[in-house]
Amino acid sequence: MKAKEIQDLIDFIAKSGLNEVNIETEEFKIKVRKNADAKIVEYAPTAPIATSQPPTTKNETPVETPTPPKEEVDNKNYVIIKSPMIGTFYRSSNPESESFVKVGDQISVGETVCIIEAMKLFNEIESEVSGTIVKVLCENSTPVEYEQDLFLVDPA
Amino acid sequence: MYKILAKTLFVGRKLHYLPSCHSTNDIASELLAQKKATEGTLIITDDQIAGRGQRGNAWESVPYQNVTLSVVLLPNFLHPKDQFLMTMMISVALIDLLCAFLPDGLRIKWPNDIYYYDRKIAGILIESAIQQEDIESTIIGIGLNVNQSQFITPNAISLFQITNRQFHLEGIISRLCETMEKRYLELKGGDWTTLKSTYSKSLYRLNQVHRFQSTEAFTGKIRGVEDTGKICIEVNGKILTFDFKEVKFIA
Repeated sequence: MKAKEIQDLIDFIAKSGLNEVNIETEEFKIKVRKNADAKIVEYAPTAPIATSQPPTTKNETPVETPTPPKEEVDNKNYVIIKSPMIGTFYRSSNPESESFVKVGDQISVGETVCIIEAMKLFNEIESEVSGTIVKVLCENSTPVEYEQDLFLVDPA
Repeated sequence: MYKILAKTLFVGRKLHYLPSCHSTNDIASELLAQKKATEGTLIITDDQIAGRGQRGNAWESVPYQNVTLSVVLLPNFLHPKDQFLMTMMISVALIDLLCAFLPDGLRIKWPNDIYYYDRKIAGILIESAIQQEDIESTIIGIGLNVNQSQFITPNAISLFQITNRQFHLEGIISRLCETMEKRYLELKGGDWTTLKSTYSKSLYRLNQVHRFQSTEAFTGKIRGVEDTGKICIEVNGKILTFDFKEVKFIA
């Protein structure tokens, strides 16, 4: 199951008003639980996923990518960094510079992960968690809504 | 070195002067990271080598001629969705400052350029750090054209070009600290109505028939801004609102 599909599912559940949803198929088991100030997603693949991480990150962090024991893969609690405002999502501080973060990067609390520009106000969005970037959920230089999901983070 | 003798409580009480630097906003950001900047801290340079405007745009300034500074503010009383008030606050503070020298022709070109008739006299670059829904810090970069006599940028203008007199930068900066603190305290005190109405009535091309470019060109009249900062343009008796990226002014 792709991160985008997980996102769509979470959005769907969020709109449904349900507080907890468990879905189990042959391929995966997913549990989404909602509470007042945090959304915890538990995603446990029952079958091995062939392309869990893009190859580029393997080159950069070869030590960390070997598949860990199966028990550790299960019950991942991913955290989502959301947009605090309506605006335009930028992954770097200016068009020439590198992205603040990439998939596979370790981030710490307070680290800038992106810029959201709204009405010529430039906002560096800082992470509220430390962990590893699992997925970037928005395209660079595209509009984002209030509370739209920006990054999927595997908390440390 | 600058002696800033502003009659203020916090804006400009702490000053970092650099004879030359890349961008005062970048220095302000470094000082914040090192916990060396408090609310109201000013970062001033005489020679900004790589002054920045919006995303990759440069800010043109000849050394020792102009005001190029940044101020650190901590508007944690504002929700990020209300932060257009910071644009209003600083735009109005610049108008307050400049109207002492220029009795007419001063306007705010939406969203945050200061114009003297059809030419730009000052620019603003606001950068904030946000964690979850809290504004942790805001850096306001200001470029004000004071004594420069020529510009490469076609629509730029300076105080000198308008008044034919030279100004002391220290005096201008001191006065700016005062107008800024006054408007910032107004914002902090919750008096948003005054700020919004002063900003709106100072808008460039307000209530005048002009051409605009959106998905297609159209004729309309600027009527004001929404709280979010979106501009309200009256077209054929209807008010339409536009984001900064959705509409351009046509000369």
